[in-house]
Amino acid sequence: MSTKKTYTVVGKRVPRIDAKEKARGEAKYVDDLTLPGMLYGATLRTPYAHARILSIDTSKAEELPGVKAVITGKDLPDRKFSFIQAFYPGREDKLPLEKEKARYIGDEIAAVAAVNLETAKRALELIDIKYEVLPTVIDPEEAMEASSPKIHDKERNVVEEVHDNFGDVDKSFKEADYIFEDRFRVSHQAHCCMETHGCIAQWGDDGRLTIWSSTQMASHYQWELSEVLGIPYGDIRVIRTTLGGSFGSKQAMHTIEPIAAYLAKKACRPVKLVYNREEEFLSTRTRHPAIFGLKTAVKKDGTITGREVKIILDNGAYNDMGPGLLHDMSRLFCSYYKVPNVRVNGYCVYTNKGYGSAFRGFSNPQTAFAIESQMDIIAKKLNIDPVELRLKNAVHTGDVAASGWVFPSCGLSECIEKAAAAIGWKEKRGKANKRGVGLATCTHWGGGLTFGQSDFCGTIVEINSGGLAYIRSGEVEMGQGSDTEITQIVAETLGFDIKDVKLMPLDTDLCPSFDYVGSPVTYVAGGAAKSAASDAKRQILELAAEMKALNTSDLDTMNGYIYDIKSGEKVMPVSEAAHFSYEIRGVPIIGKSSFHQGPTMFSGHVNPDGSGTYSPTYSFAAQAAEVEVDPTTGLVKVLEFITAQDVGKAINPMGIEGQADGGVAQGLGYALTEGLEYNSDGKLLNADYGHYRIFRAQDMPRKLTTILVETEDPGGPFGAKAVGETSMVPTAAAIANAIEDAVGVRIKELPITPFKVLEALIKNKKEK
Amino acid sequence: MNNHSGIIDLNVNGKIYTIKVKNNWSLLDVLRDELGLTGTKRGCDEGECGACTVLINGKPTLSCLILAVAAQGQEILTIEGLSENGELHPIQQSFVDLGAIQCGLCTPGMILSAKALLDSNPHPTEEEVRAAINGNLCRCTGYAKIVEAIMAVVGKTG
Repeated sequence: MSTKKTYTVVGKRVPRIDAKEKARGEAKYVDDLTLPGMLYGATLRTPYAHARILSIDTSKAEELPGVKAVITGKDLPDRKFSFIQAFYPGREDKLPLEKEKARYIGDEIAAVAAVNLETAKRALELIDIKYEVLPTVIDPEEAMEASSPKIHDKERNVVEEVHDNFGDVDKSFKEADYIFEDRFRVSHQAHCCMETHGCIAQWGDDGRLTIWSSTQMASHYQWELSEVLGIPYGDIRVIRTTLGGSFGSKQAMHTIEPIAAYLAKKACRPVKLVYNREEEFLSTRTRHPAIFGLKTAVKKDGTITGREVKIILDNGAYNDMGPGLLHDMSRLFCSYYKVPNVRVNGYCVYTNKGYGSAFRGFSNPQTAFAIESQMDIIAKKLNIDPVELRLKNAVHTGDVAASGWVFPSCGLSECIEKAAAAIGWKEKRGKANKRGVGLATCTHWGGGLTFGQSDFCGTIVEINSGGLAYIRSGEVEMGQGSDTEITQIVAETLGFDIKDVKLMPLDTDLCPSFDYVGSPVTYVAGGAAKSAASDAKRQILELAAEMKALNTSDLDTMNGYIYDIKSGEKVMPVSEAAHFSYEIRGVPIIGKSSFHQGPTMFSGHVNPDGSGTYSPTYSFAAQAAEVEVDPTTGLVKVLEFITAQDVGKAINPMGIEGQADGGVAQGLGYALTEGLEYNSDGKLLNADYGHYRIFRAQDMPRKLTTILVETEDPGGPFGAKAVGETSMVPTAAAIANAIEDAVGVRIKELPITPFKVLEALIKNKKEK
Repeated sequence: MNNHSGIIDLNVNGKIYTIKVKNNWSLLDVLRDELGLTGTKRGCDEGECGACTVLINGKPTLSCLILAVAAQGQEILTIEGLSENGELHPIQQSFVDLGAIQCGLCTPGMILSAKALLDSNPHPTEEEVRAAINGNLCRCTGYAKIVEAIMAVVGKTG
C-alpha cells in the first residue's frame, strides 16, 4: 500500500495518447476502413414484434446485378448464442438470423452483401417474407401472467429468478418504527454512441476468420464467434478498431459479426457491415428497464434495519446479459448502506421489445434510483436531513455488507460531505421556491467484477533494443481513456518518460486475453500492466547489475536511466542495458503478468449463507444537483451538478473529470429526457436523435464540478479503483430529490418528463 | 451526362477534385467514399447529430443533407484541411491539451463548428459557444471540456 507519494506520470493531467490523431480526423473507425474487393452488407429486419416466419423467398434479391451473397437462417447452423451462456449454460436463445420466429421489431431475418450499399439495400426490398403475426406482449408484468403470449415457446416468459435472503428481514419489519413501501419504474436507455456498430469480416486461405470490429471485448468476441460459427477459437482473429463510444453496447457480441462472417464466407470476399442510426436504435440493445417494489424498515432515529425488494427486470426479446444482470442488481440492493437484513425476489422477463445488455453502471443506475429516491422519502417523513440520514447509514472502510461485500477502502462519507458542501446544501435546501437541491450516493464495484467468473487481464511489456517500452494488453480503449491510463502506469513503473512507452493496437493474435466488465479496466488491466512492467524492470536492473558488478537491490530507474539509489548517480541509460541484452546476448526483455482477482463469489468464495464479495474493492460517489422547475411547463433546468467520487487514486485527473462530465450528461438524460418509447404493437416510436433526446451543449448545467476523493485502495495499481461508471449511477435520484425540494413533488418513474412534473403538480394542488 | 450521374468539380480544402458522382449522392458520401477523406464522420445520415459538419464558404453545414452536385463551386473545408504544414490549428491543439476529446467521433464536426464561430465572432461568450455547438452531439464528454477548450482559444487571442 502506498502512502501519499508524488509520482512523475501517475496523477498528472496527461493528454490522451490518441488525441492528436483524433483532432486531425485521422483515427480510423470501422466505417473508415476498406479492403480490396470488399462488399457492403445490409440486414433485413422484421416489421412485426411477434410473428412466425412462414416462408422466405430470396430469389429476386439474388438475381439483382451486384449482389454477391444473400443469406437467411437456413444457411446458418442451428447454433444459438447469448453472452450469458458462458456463465449460465442453456440460456443461449438468439440465432444470428431468425428462421422460425421474430420476437421484436428489429430482429434480423436475412442479409445481403453487394458491390455497394445502395445495391444491398435495394436487394433487401426484393426479399419476400411471409409472416403469421402473433399477439405481442410489451409490459413485463403482463408478460409474467400465465395467459400472456409465450415469446420463446416455453412455459413462461420468466427466464431467470433471484431469491437472495440475508439476516432476518421479517424480524426487522416487526421491530421497525416506520415501514416505507414505494414502487419505482425506470425506462430503456439507449447508448447512442456516436459511432454505430460495425465490422468487417474476411476469411483467409488458411480458413481463419479475421474480424475488424468496433468491439469493447475483443477476446470475448473470439469466444462468442467460435461458439456461434462452430469453428475453433484459435481460427478467429479479432482486431479492435478505434471505438466511437460503447458504454457497454459493444461488450457482448451482436448479430452483426456472425452475419458479416457468413456473408463473407458465402461471397468469398471481405464484407463490411455497418448499422445505420435507425438500426442502432432498433436493435443494438439497451439499458434494462425495471419495476421495483421497495419496502424498507426504519427506526425513528433513522437507522435502516431491513429491506425487502421485488424486481421485475424487463429482458426484452432475448437474453444477452439479463439473467446475470438480475443477480448483480439483487446484490446491489443487499449492499448499499449498513442494512443487515435484506431479502430480494427478482424476475427477469421476456417481452417483445429490443433487448437489454450492458450499459454503463450495469444495473446500478436503476437500483440507485429506487434506493436513493426512497432515502429522501424516509428523511422527509422522519424530519431528518437527507445528508445526515445517509451519513448515519453509510458504510466505512473495513465494513462488510449484508451481501458479504467487503470494503477495503471507502470514501463514501467524505464524498457525501464534500458534495453537500459544494452545492451549498445548508444555504439552498428547503426553500421550495421552484429551486431546490438534492443529493444521492452510490456504491459500485471498484475492482474486477465477478459477473460469472473473475475478471482477468493478461499483459506483456517488452523493452526493445532502443530502450522503448511496448505494451501488449488485452484492455480496450473505447474512448474512456484506458490506453492513456495504462501507458501512464507502465511509464511510472518503469521510470520512463511517457513518450517512450507505446501501446500496441489490440489484435487477439498479438495481445493476451482479458475478460472484464467496463470500468474495472483501471484495477484489472492497470494491475496487470503494473505487474508486467515491474517484471520487465526487474530484468533490466538485473542485467545492469551484472554488467556493472552491482546489486540489483541498489538500483532503480528514472527518466529512462538506471541509477544507484544510494548515491543518486546515473549508472547507464536503460537503452544501453536493453541494447546489450538484445544485440550482444540475443535475449529479449519481456515482462509478463496477468491480473486475476482470486477467490470471489462465483469463483469459490461463498459463505454458508450464500453471501460473498463480488469485487476485491468498491468505488463510491455522491452527487448533488441544483435544479429550477418551471411550474407552468414542467421543464426542469439543471443549474449546477457536483460529483464527489472515491477513485482510490486518480491516475489521470483530467481523464477522470472528462469521464465524470460525460457520465453526468448520460445520467441527466436518463433522469429527464431519455427513454425508448414502444407502442402496444412493439413499434419503437423514437428511433432517431430528433425524438430520442440526449443532452446537448445548451442543456448541460453551466456549473459542473468533479471532486476527486483519494482513499488509496490497498489492492489497486497505485491505489486506484474503477472510475468510469460511478458518475452516472446516482444522477437520476439526485435530480428527483432536487425536484422534490424545489416544488414538492416526488416522481418515481423515469424519465422525469415535463408532462410527469405537471401532472404531479396538478395532483398535488388538488390534494391540498 | 445521363439523368443519374455526371462529372463535377469539387473544391475541397483548396484542391479541385474532378469526379463522377451520382445525382443522389450526398456531399458526405462523396467526401468519404469517393475522395477517401474519412475525417468527416457519418453519425446519423439524417441531419440530427452534426458529426458530418463541414464548412462551406465558412458556414457550418451538415454534409449528409447537401447533395454533392449542389456543392459545386463552393469552398469546402473538412477537418483534413484545418492543420497547416503538420501543425495543429489552435482549436485542435486546445482540444488536445484540455481533454476535450474522448472517443473522437464528434470531434471533427465539433472543431469545425467552433472554427466557424471564432472566424465570425472572435470573442464569443460561453453562451454563444454553447449555441454554436448545440447541433453537434457528443455522448462522451458532457461538452464541459469542449466549451473550456474553445474559450481557452478565445482567451489566447482575446
